[in-house]
Amino acid sequence: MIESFNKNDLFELLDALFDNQITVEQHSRLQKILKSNPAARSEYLAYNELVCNLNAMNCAAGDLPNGPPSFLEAVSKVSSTSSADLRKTSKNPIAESRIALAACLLLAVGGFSLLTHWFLKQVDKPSDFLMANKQLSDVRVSQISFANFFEQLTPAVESKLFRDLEYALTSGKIELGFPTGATAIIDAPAIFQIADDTRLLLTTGKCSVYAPPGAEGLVVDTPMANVVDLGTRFVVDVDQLGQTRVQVVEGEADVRTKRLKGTSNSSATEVINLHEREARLLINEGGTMVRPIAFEEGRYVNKLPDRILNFSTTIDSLGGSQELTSVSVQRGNVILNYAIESLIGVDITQFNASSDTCIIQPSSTNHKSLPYEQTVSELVLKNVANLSSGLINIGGSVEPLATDPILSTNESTIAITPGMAIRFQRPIINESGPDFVVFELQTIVNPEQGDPFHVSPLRFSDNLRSLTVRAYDIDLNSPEAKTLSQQSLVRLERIPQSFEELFASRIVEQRLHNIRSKVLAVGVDLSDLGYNQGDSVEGLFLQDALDDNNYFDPVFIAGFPSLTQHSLGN
Amino acid sequence: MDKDELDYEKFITSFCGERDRIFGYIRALLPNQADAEDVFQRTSLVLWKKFADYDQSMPFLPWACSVAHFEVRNFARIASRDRLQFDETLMQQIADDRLNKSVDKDSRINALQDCLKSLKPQEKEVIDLVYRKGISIRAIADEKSIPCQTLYNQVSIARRKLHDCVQRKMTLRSQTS
Repeated sequence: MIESFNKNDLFELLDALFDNQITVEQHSRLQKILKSNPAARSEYLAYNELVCNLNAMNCAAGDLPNGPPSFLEAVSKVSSTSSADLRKTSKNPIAESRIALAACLLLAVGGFSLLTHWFLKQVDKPSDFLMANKQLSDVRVSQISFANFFEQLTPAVESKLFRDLEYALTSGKIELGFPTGATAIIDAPAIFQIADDTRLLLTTGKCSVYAPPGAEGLVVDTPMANVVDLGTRFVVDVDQLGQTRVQVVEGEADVRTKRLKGTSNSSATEVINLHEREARLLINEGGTMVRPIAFEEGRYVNKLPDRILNFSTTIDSLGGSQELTSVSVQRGNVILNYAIESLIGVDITQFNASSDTCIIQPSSTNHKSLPYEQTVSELVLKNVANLSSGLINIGGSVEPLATDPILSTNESTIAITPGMAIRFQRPIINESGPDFVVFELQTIVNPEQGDPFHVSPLRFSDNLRSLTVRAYDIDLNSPEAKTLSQQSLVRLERIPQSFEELFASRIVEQRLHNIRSKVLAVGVDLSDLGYNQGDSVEGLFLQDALDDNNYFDPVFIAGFPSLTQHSLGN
Repeated sequence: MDKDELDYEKFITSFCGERDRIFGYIRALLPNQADAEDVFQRTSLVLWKKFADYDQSMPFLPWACSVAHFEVRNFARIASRDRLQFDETLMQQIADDRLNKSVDKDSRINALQDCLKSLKPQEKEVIDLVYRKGISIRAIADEKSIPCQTLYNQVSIARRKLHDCVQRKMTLRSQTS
């Protein structure tokens, strides 16, 4: 049915939409109008074009320091053959600006689509070519850990997966929740599909299934067999040839072999009932052959590792994240949510930077021109909880420290160790799982995994060592990585080699950071630095790992309170 | 020139020729500029990665749009927790409408440039701050010490004036050409 619409009402809704002010009720009303009225959609498309063309003006302002690179240069940087090349993109602000400008040129130079007569005559609708004509299943992602997918964004926790769509998990783990209550943890590398709400197609990879009482019936469909859950914990491994290994940890499962294509008709199917601590290997030897094999401890995965799960922030008018409000973390297999007030803050006690652009601030404070009224200390000491603020581009070394960092010196020939020393506002205790969290600012054209960094004790002893963090619990691919409100970069008159130099420096430039940035997070377990359970730690030293031209940009660090205190407090 | 270089040349040629149409297609489905830019960037990477699978005897744009549509759906599914997104039915309707609509982009930009001149100085300033300088409405409101909503209203009024003006010019142009 075509509904009439009032043009003013429509444009009020569209204004709210384009200004990110739209409410749930307004959005629902707008969708109803647009769905039922082609004229309203035509107005939407025209108004959308206008807003789009206005947005393009932002990149045509020409206020960036260097001339634009060619389009081909931009594509060769941004659209490289592998993400490894992307990682080499410089994080130098000037280089970033060049890339930002190039990326903007992609949008600004050409503008918005002219569908030519040629196109209308010769081209079928994209919808005819869609891979995406898939239906959502009721199978949800219940947890993820370091999960990345080939050519797909990582689905969000609680999102539903598409039915009959091939998912290629290239790294990490993902836990799926089926409507029956069964769960399946899939380990990378794996290729799988959701056939229906009780059937998982596993082409390759490892899948650990748990079906509590009442949730029986899940089928893991492999190239050689259907493994039917009968109320159990079992694990299925499928190698790249389709050979399938099934191992029952608890309860029982049926393994129903398949007749394989190209094999003799005499290769009959069979059903094998497996019980606790039984395992079978299914191989193709002119038909499916089933062989008993030894049960292997530790093959079954019953939980995802401890990690930072999510965090929440205040949001600005454009939807950008501002101040941290809480962090959700799994510690010792228990999920905890910490309000920012309960976190243990840090004081920076030493700082040796890699760049003179070493401070980032919320942009709302900076669109003023010279002379700059603020001092470095004003910038550094305010907005502490704002994830768009902090000391960035910290110094580092390729090799992690094996001896105490130099934090002060009276001799001009001895330098302060490049990096950043922090002191927790009260000591943190080494307990299960992450003991503190580090948030890092990352532009969307920098390495997806985040910038690697070293964490070292301030005082080494026999058992203590440095840890190099190379992967973030929440990386650029994670739906939990939040887009930050716009920042401005602050450039000082020189590269500060110490905290004293930082505070004595004069600000020579502040300008908008033109590339969208997200904030990533990683939890660090003090046990990985050699501390014993229960050890108390007052401070640490952080350094960029100097693995590439991108520098580590910590925007917020905080310790978690003792698990005992938290449980008492809650 | 080896095969990889040849493929790269072909990709660049095809991609450069259609980038605006691909972005326009994505932007129509994702009315938030930043979302559209994210998905466009992602799509361009996926297009390059999948270029070996593309049947080069077929037109590039529909293949690219099919990839873009998939990325949009994927993105919308994930981003729906943070921002309201159109549902799949409406996205499909908009995608179909978009393909059946001829968009003379250059004429629209020219019309927009003319129309900007017709705005009052105050309207011109607010459009300049928000769109050309990219300053958030909240930051401008703080700077000018006026309520955010007042600024949103000013932007809306100026934008609608521009829209009406551009539409009038485009109608006139189609009648005279």
